[in-house]
Order: sequence, then structure tokens, then C-alpha cells
Amino acid sequence: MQFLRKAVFYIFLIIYLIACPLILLYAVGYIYKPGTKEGFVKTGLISVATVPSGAKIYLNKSRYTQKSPAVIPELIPGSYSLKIFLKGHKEWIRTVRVEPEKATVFDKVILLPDRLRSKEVLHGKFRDIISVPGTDFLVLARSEKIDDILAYNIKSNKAWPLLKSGMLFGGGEALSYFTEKESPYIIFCVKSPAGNKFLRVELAENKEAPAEDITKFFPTEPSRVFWHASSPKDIFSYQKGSLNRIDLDSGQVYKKYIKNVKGFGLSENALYVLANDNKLVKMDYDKKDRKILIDETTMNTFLFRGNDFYKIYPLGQEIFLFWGERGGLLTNNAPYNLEGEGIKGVSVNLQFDRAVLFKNDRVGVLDLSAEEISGEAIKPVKIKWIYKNAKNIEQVFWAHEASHVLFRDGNKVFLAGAFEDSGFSLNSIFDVADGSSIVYSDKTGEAYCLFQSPGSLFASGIVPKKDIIEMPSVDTGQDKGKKYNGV
Amino acid sequence: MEFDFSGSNIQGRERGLQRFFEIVPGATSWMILVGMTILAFCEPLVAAVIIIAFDLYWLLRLLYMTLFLILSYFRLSMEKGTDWMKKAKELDQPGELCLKDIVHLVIIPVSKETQEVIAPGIKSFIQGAFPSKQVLVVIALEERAGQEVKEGVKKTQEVYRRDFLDLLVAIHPDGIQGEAKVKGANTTFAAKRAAEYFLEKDIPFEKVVASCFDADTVIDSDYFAALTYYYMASPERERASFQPVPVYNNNIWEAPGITRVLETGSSFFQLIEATNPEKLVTFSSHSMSFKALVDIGYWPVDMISDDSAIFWKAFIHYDGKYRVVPMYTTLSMDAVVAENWWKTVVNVYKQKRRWAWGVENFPIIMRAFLKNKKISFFNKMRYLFKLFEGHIAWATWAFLLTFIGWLPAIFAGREFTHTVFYYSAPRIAGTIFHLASFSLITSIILSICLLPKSREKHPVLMRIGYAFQWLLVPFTVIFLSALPALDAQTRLMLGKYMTFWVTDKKRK
Repeated sequence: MQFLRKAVFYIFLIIYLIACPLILLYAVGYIYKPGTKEGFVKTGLISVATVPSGAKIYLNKSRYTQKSPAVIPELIPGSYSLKIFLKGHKEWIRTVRVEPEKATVFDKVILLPDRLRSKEVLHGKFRDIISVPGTDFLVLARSEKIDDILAYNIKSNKAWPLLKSGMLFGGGEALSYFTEKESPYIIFCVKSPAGNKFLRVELAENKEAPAEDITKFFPTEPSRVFWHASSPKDIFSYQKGSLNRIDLDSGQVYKKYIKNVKGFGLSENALYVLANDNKLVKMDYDKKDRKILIDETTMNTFLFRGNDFYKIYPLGQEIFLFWGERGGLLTNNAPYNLEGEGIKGVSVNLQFDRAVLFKNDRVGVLDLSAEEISGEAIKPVKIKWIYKNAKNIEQVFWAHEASHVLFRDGNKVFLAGAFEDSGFSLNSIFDVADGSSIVYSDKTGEAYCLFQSPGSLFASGIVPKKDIIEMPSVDTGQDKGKKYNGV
Repeated sequence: MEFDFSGSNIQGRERGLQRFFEIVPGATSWMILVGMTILAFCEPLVAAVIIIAFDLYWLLRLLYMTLFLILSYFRLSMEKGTDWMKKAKELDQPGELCLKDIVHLVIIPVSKETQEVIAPGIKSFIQGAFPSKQVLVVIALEERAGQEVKEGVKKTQEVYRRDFLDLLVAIHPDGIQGEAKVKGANTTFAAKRAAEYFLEKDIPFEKVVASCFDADTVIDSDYFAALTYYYMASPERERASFQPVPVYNNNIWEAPGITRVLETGSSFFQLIEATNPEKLVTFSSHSMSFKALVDIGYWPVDMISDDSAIFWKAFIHYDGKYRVVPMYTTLSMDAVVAENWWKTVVNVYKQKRRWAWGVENFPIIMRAFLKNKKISFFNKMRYLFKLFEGHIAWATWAFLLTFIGWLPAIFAGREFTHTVFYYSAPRIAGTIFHLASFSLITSIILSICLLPKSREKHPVLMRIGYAFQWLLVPFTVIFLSALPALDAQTRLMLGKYMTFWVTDKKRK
């Protein structure tokens, strides 16, 4: 037995010494190809994942045995024609370049149905929809009057009047609104005989007093209002170069809480303040733990335009975006000036370190995750325009784990694969009523719209519900305090 | 070499060395686990390469062990029907060593075991082929044991004394200087009492084979006969321990699934080890020459892992000229069973931690090996590597295979996720795990073969249920094997020394 044990040990040792390097070589992409000069050749692979799954995969007209999701390994480097086909859905065809040792990944492919089906989810005569990003709610307006507005829960499919009858400012005209990502609160600016009033409404069913007049907390009418979903009773308002802080719990207003403010952003625990001297300072809500993140020498002071206010988006590895009032977009890394003017909206997804932005005629994306290559210098940040020559882009939404962008150009709605993993596709999905907004919810994978104005609320499934993985949303939402369009 | 095989009561440089070598195993295990986690985070590609190389090594090691498990099991089965008495008689050497001269000394340490636990074992000594009148049983009773235990021992002595050469009860007093509250102190005290007995009766120590059995040990009917044969047949028999295969069948049908799987795993490990006598170390109940026991100064009186420590003590005392002879016969003990499932799990954890505390031998052996110039360097390295690697593998492998192995994929940055390696690594790991299931299936089949007959109404269903309990392996190896081992090494590393804890064992 002793001899046998030793003999087997040495056999196993030899097996290991031979097999281990071979397996590791195979793991990095080497395969043995008889007939080639070297014998061993480097290969690449293609990874495909679709929603819905179960699609047939064709590579250079040969059908691959597996259905999506699938990994096609051992591919000799070169160009391949990749076709993904699922019955009842639009074909997805790309010419794919396979590189040695690399994986060409299409793991966020959305296969749209041949005919996108829409269902009426709420009957009524609605004129517009307001998105409350990252929540289960949207808001529907029948007219410009505040008491003609409904809240709608997309999960329970229930709607209720935003204000109870006879409540504050009945009959007043809703002029504008403010929302924050993942916060079920909405602040309306309402025109009343006594002047403009601010109404804070909680989107919750069966709430006794969902609305609250918070006008008294604003010394003068604010141009911008900020809060974070985690502390909705801590509100910051921007007025003429200063930030006021409102503590709704105690009813305290801290006027000019921070002075000489040129830009502002906030996260769960921190405030980001761009001062007039172009220093970016991070501090906690009580102005403690101050840390200068960017001093005036880091960024050319001429980049920040005169008296423009900049909304600050913290993302990636200490990367910030500064979106100015006149549509300029700056960042603290080269090339600093991303776009001189005209950016109408910015939405950031912190989970994937991606940002989507739009101008009147184009939609672009920034992928900051691609910059995080350890040990290498950070590559210059660059906007990738995924759609140009539009008429008038007004709304943009992230879809399917920030891989796609759903946007509205006038009354036309498009779905675009924004990155390599989605295959840079572009599909026109449907047309909506002139002047009406749309809402896309990553929680249901559905786009909500009005096909007629006034008309009922319809939902169109973009991503099948079974393929939706609910993740904590970190999208920072879009422009706050914008004009209440269409109401 | 004269060496005080103890980690306590040492001073100066020896104390410093002892402390250093106490830290080494725990620090190594933690370095592997934390280091691989950090590497998976910082350099996922490098970590993934190491993990694949490790997975392959683990697979081959597993298949290697499975092969020898099968061979060992077949040998155990083949030797089942052997007439050991006949074979022993053939070895009679008149004037030197005859079968009729051999005396077996059995020491049974008792601390809180009741008569119900002790009696079946003692009864099994009588029922064997070897004449029980050549067996001296010494019950090593702790003075601090409860009244019920003491009465049980007394009754046992009254009932069975006449069946043996004698049945003595040695009451071990508490608080003897230099002793810790450990089993070794109790058995040593009993062995000294037995030595006095043999001197009184003029029985030469060379002809006495000492066995130290746990109180719940029930032996095979051919155990003493087989032991006698192995003892007589072994050259330099006084420089050897004799290791049977422990099985935990006494109450296996009453034990919960996790206990069964773990205890069967221990039996398998011993079966595999039996095929490698060159590196075999004593474990649990075993036997040895009484002369050697006396020569080396009995069991360590301040160590928990007395079963393995006795081998190392003898190995160092005889300058490496000491070995363990595997015996292809079984003795059965109780699987851990407590009042309820949770308590059983806690008890199993504590028992495995106590077993893993065998790592306490490492610093002492290191000190001894540094001093001993007569044991060859190769021999030292061979034993040390096995001991060290065994403990490190025990504490780390399960974590590497189940948790840390997947971290590179979780921590992978964009650069890594777009490589062929990122996609091929999980497939290779999956294939390795699939191949490893061969070992699992073999284990299931062999474990069923090792099971005793069930007293239940539906034995076939019981066995099928038992097979499915092997699906608990991932849980048991992590939480009831690797974790207690890491716990034991960490305690030793931090100098938080363990005290002996008697496992709860109950029978219906």
C-alpha cells in the first residue's frame, strides 16, 4: 500500500504539473489548434445575455447550440456576424470584433417585441405626467389646477387625488415642481391670489394630511430646492448666491446657511459646495468635517462662467460633474470643459458611474466606470453622443441597469443602447400625444405615456418584469425646479 | 532525547520560541484568508489564477484520498473475517512472547459519563475472542465527578470485575501540581496505578499492551485478538502505537444528520490515513506498548490533545524511531448527541474545536525538533509539513472553496470583466466541482456500507435519508469543521488557551 500510495502520489503530481498550466492557459484563452504554425492560438469569446432570455444565437450563419444567456468561447480573433433571434421580437444583428484574450460582452441586450403592446392602466382625461424618479409613483395632471392632479402608484395600480377636496390652494395653478430621486415628496409652486405658494406633498395613499404649506420657510422665492431622500425634512433652498437650510422637524430656517455659493450638490451624508472662489468643499449637514476637494488651481477659474449656478454631481473616484445654468458641463478632470452650453438635463447613475445628458438636438452618455483602470492614468472624460439631429429632446431616462436610454424627441419616444454591452441599438418605440411627457420606471420595466391629450394612462413593457432585478437606485434624477410643462 | 513535552512551565528563550510557534499556524491561516481576500479585491486576475490552481490541487488531492479511501475500505472489509487469534497463536515464540502471556490494559477515563455509557464498552471487552481474563481494566475516575457517575462506576466494577484479570477504579484527585484539568492527567494517574499493579503481580511491562479508550468506546469482537496479533507481529513492537479505525456507530441512528456526516468524515479520514503509516499519528482511542508508555513518562498532563500528543512525545523520546501501525479493525464510539438540535450543533462545534486544538502540539514539536539532532532533517520536515499543512488546510480550504474563491468575480473591475479569463474561470471551477462530486458519491456509498443495522422499522428509507444528509457537507465543512479549526488556531495565536471540555453523548 505504501508503494502504491507513493506511485499514485507521483502520478497525481505529474498530472497536476501538466494540467495546471494547460488549464490556466485555456482559462486566459489559449487553445490547441492542429495545423497552425504555433500549435497554440489565442482566442476570444462573446458573451450574450438578452431580455427576454432564451433567444437563438447565430454566429456567421451557424446556430450556436445554447440560447441566451450564453458564452461562446474559443473564437479565433476576427470579425463575426452575430444575430440574436427570438420569435415575436425584432432581430438583433451586429458585426462583432473578437480580440485575443478579450471577452466581447453584450449582456444588456433588450429584444423589443415586433409590436410593442400598450395597455391602458388608468382611464381618464389626463394632459400630462410627472416623473417622481426612483419611487413607485408618478403624478398625473388633468389640468393646470393643483386640485386636478392625481398621484398614481405604478405597482398597486391605484390613483388618488393629490390634495383632498377643500384643502390648501384649491383652484390654484401649479407653476412648477421639485422632486428628488427616491423621495416620495414633491414640492409644488402654486399660484394663488396671495402670491406664489409652496406646497409639499407626500405621495402616499390614505395619508390624513399629505400636503403642507411651506411657503413661510422661504424668505424669498427660491430658484432651486434640494433635499436627499434619506432626510426629506432637511431642505436646502438656493437664493441669490446663498443657501438657506430648512429644518421641517423643528420649523427652523437657517438663513444664508452657506454664503457665496456658486454650486451645490448633496449626498446622503455630505454637502458639496462650490464657493465663489471656485473651491469645492465637502462638509456634513452641520457644516463640520470640511474638506477641500478641489482648490482653485485644479480647475481653470475661467471655466466657471460668471454668476452661473452649477449643480454638482459627485460620482466615480472623486470625479464631479458641474452643470451650469446656461447648459455648460464641466468636470474636474481633463478635458474639464465637456460641453460649452445647451445641456438641458443631466442624470447620473452612481451604481454604474454613468451619466446621461441631453441638448435640444442630441443625447449623450458619459461612462466613468471605464476610466477606473487601476494603475493607469485616468483617461480623458468624453461625451459619447448616441443620438443626433433630433428636433427637440425633452426627456431622458435610464433603462435596464443604466445600459439603455429612453428619450423623448418631441412626441417620438426612442430606446437606445447607450454602451457596448447593449450593442448601441436605436429603436423608435411609439409616439405620444403632442406636448405630453413620459415616465419610465426601472422597477416595472414599463414606459408610461398618454397617447392622446386629454387621454388615459398607458403602460408599455420595455423590459419583461421577470428580468428586472431591483437594485438600490442611485440615479440622482434630473433638473429640479423646471417649468411645469404642459399643465 | 529527554524532553519535557509541555508548553507550560518553561522560561526564557524556550518560552519565547513556544509563543512564536504558537502564533505561526493561526497567523498563517489568517494571512491566507485575509491575503486572498485583499488580493481578490486589488488584483482579481492574480487571485483568480491562484484560485484555479488551488481548485485543481484540491480536486486531485480529493480524488487521491478517495482512491485510498476505497482501497482502505476494501482492506477493512477483507480483514473482517480474519481469525486473529489463530494468526496470533502462530506467532507464539516460547520463552519470548506467547499469546497467553500478553496482557491488555484498558484505561477508561470517566468524568461525567454515566453507567449507561460505560457499560456497553466494558461488556464488549468480555464478548471478544481474546480471553478477558488477560485484560486489566482501569476506570480512571475524576474525583470531581458527580455522585451518580461515581455510583455508576462502582456498580460497573461490581458487575464486571470477575470477568477480567481485574477491574480497578483509580480516583484521580484534583489539584495535583503541574496538572491541568485534562484527560491526560486522569489517564496518567490511572496508568501509574496499573504499573503498581503489574509490579505487584510481577507482570513484565513488555508483555502489556495499553489501550486508552474513551468511555463510550465499544470494540469489535476481534479487536483485542487483532491488536494482539499486530503487537506480536510488529518488529520493535515497543516503539509503536496501534491505531484502529474509529467509527461512531453506537448511536448513529439517533444522531442528527450533521453529526452523522461529520463523524463519518472523521472515520474516512482515519481510513485514508491508515494507508500511509509512514506519517500516521495516533488519534482518539488507540493502543501502545505499556513499556513505551512508562518509558516516555505517560501522557502529557497539561495538554488537551493527549491522543496525538502521546505519539509526538514517544517520537521525540525515541529520536524519531517510533511509528504508528494501522489496524484494519474498527472500534465504535458515540456520535455527539445533545438534548436538541441546536445543542448538538454547539457540542459538535466544541468537539471539533477540541480536536483542532491538536495544533497545540506544533510549537512543542518545533522546539523539540530544534533541539533534537538525532532525528534526520528529512524526517522532521516530513512530519512537520504534514502536521502544519493539515491544520492550515483544515482551517482555510473550506473558506477558499466556498467564499473567497468567488471574490475575484465579485470584485472584478471593468478591465477584468472583459477578459476571457473572467468567463472561463467560473466554468473551470464548475467543472472541477462536478468532478469532485465523484468523491462525494463514493463517500455516500461507503458511509452507507459502514453503517450498522438500524433498529428502526424502515431501515432502507433510513439509509436513503442518510445518503441525502451528505448534501449538508458544504454547511458542515464550513461551520463545523473549518470554523472551529480557525477558532482553535486563533485562540492559540492569541494565547487564549483552551481547557478540556467533555462532549455530551446520549443514547436512547
